[in-house]
Amino acid sequence: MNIQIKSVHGILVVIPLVRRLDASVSAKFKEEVLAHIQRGERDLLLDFQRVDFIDSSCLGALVSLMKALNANGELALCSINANILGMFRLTRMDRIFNLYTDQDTALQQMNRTVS
Amino acid sequence: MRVMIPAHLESLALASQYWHEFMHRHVMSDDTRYAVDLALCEALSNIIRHGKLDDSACIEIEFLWRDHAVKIILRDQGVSIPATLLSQVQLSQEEGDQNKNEISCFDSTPLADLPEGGMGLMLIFSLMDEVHYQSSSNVNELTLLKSIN
Repeated sequence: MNIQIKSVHGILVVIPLVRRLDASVSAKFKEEVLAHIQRGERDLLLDFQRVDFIDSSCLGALVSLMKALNANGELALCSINANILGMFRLTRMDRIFNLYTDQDTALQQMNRTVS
Repeated sequence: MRVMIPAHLESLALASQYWHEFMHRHVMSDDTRYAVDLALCEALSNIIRHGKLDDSACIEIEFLWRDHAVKIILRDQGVSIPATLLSQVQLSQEEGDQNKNEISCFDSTPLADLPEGGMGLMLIFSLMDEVHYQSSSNVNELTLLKSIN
């Protein structure tokens, strides 16, 4: 799966370079991010700037990643389009994940928490 | 418009392309376009993952425009959705109708108990105005209906 990954001040920024995160790719996406958590990454920002569609399998993958962190870090999302945000609200997942408008805002807020 | 897609998860994007092709002929809000796209994806994922279809099997998708509503009919020859599961989801939807803009699987749930799956049917019922399911003569037929305001 095509994913861009970079580390910014100790925060792992993950940018899926796909338009759709549906059941055909969500397991692979979860595996790839999970591998970083298992290697010790604790603060992760998923930047959905390229993603314009997700389904419930992607939501499930996000929950799974959150569980893997087990409250020993932060899993946040940014650059979510209005339709995906609507899905987060519908499933009430907006109450579980920290959602930021863009990467800069997210990194600023997360840095305050990390430091 | 009637199309057949291979019963593989890789076909989800193809089904979405057909939906976009169909909806371009009609005027509808972006919210509605996404809701139908998502419900279609969830319905197909359920059939593909739980229908136990052969590798060569296909799913038929029929897109219809009826009285200011989009109607999508999915036909497959896999294992049917258990009636008990359907009635549970329908009951849960009816109980939650006072607040139809949210589904409640994440309410006050400890992290360890948050669901990682099983949200598809609930999403379909939440997003669509009508959902009908019937199974007869070895063919399952799922009908999704969404009014266009």
